Amino acid sequence: MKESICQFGPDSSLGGILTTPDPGKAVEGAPVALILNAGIVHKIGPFRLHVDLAGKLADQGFSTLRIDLSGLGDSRPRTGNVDLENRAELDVCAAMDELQHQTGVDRFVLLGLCSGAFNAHQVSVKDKRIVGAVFMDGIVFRTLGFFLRHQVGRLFKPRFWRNAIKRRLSGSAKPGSESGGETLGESEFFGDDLKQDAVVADLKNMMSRGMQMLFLYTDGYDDICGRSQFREMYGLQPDEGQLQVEYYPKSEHTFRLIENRRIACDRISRWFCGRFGATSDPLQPVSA
Amino acid sequence: MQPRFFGDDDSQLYGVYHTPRGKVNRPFKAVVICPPTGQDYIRSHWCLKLLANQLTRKGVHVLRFDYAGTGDSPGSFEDVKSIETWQDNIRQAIRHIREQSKAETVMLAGLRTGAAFAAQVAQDNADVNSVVLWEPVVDGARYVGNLRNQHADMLDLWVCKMQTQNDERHEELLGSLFSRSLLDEIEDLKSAYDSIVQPQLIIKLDSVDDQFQHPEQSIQKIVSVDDENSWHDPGSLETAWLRPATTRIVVRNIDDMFKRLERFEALTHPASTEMNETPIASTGVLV
Repeated sequence: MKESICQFGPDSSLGGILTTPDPGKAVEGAPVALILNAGIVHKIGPFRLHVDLAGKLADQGFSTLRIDLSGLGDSRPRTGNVDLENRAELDVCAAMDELQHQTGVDRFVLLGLCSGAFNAHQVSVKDKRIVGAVFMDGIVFRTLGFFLRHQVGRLFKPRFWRNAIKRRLSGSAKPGSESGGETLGESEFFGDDLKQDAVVADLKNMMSRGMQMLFLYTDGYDDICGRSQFREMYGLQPDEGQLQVEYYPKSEHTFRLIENRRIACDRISRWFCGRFGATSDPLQPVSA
Repeated sequence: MQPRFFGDDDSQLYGVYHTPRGKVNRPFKAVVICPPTGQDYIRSHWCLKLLANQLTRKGVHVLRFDYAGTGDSPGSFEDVKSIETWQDNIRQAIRHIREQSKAETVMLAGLRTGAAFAAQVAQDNADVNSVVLWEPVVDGARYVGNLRNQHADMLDLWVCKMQTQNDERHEELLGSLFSRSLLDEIEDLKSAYDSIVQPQLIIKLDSVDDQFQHPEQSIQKIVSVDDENSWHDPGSLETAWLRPATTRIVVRNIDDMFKRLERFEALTHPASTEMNETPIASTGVLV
C-alpha cells in the first residue's frame, strides 16, 4: 500500500491522502472511495477510523482518498461567497475532478460518518459519477417505533437508570443521552428543513440509477434504535444487495472501541468487495 | 500550508509546512510543533494549526507533523514499541525544517506528551535553540493512571456491560492500542525540564499543582493560565480543545523569545560552543 498527498480545488488549496493498493493487488476498473470529514475532525477520522478504513480497503485492492473539506484539517477555507451547503459539494466534486484527471477513474464511492454521511447524501443525489455510498449514522428521522423501542424501552432497562444516576452523581448528566454526554443527534448537524419525503425521493432516485448503498447505524446515535427503523423511516426494505443496512447495538457513534472499529471496517470492506470487487455483480445480492 | 511526506523511505512522516508571511531576513526563525498523543492529538489538532498559522504572521517557519503510527503518518499505533521512535521523529522533523527554511537552529513547541518528548530531544541537541512546553506531562505514571481511569469511566457508562480485551503485549486505552513496552516507558516518564540547558517557556494551568524550578532561573519563563483542565474529563473526550486566547499568549511569548534569542545571537550555531556550555544561561534571556 502506498500513501501520497493529493491536492485539488482552487489553487490546490484543498487536500487529502490518497491510499493505493500494491500494484499486484489493485482491482481493475474499481471505483475510488472518498472518505469525507466527520464533524470537524480532520481527515484521519474519529479515533483514526478513516485511516483504518483506507488501509483495509487497500488490502482488498481499492484506492481511497481521505479528504479535508475546505476550512477543515489541512485544507484552506474557500474564499468568496460560498455557502456552507454548497461548499461540501464543490469540494467533493473538485476531488473527483482531480482524481479523474490524474487516473482516468470516473466512478466513485462516498463514505461518511454523521455530517460526512449527510454531505455524502447531498453530493450523491447530484453527481452521477457516484456509484456507491456508505452512510454511517447519517440522516435519520424519529418514528413511532423509535419512540417505543428507545424512549419507552430504555425505561425498563436497569442499566439506563444506573448510568443516569451515575452521571448525575458525577455531575456530567445530560438528559436524553443514554450512551454518553457527547453523543450527537441529527438535529445538531442537519438542517431542520430536511424533509423525510424528499430524502425518500432522493434514495429512490439513487437506487434507480443503480447506486449501491450501505447504511450503518450505531446505538450511540441518539435518533435511531434498531435496524427496523430504516424501513419505518423510508418505507424501503433493506436487502443483501443494493440496499444494505446494519445496526450496531453495542457501538458508540464514533466507534471509540477498537473492536467496534474492526467490525465496521470489516463490514464496509466486505460490502465493497461484494459490490465492486473483481467478481462482483452489483445487481446480485452478496452473502454477508 | 504545504502538506507533504518527509524523511527516509522506510520512515516517512506526514507533516504540514507553514511558510512565513511577508519578507523574512536571516537569521531565520523556525518552530517544530510536537503534538500530544492518543485522543489528545485529535482534540488539539485545530488549535495547533491555529498556533502554526499565527506564528507565520510573526515571520516564523513552522512544521506540524504526526508521529509514526499516529494521525496521517504511516504505521499502526500498536506497532510503536518505544518513546524513542517518536523522539527520533522529532529529530527527523528538525532536520526537515532546517533544510526547508535554512534556519540554523529551531524551537520545539510541545503540548502535553509532546512537550515531554520535546524536552528529552532538546537535552542533547545543539540544533534546538529553545523549547515551549504547553501543559506538559510532568509525571508519566500519573498521566497513564488518568488515561486508565478515564477509560474505565467510559466503559462504566457504556450502553451495555463492556470490557476491552488486554493481554501481556497490549492495552487499549481510549481508542488506542498501546504496546505494553510503550506504555511502560510513558509511565516511567519523568520531568526533564530542569535539566535542559536551552531557554524554556512553560505554559501551565493555574489549577494544576506542577512545580517547575530550573536551577538557572533566567532561562525559564512560566506563564500561568486559567484554562479549564479537561484532559481527563470523560465528557470532553471528543470535544475539540480550543484555546484561542491562550494561543495568542503563546504566540506573543514565542515572538518575544525569538527576539531575545536573536539579540543574544542564539539562533545560529556558535562557532565553537558546546551545548552544555551555552552562553544563553547566564544572560537572562527570558526574564
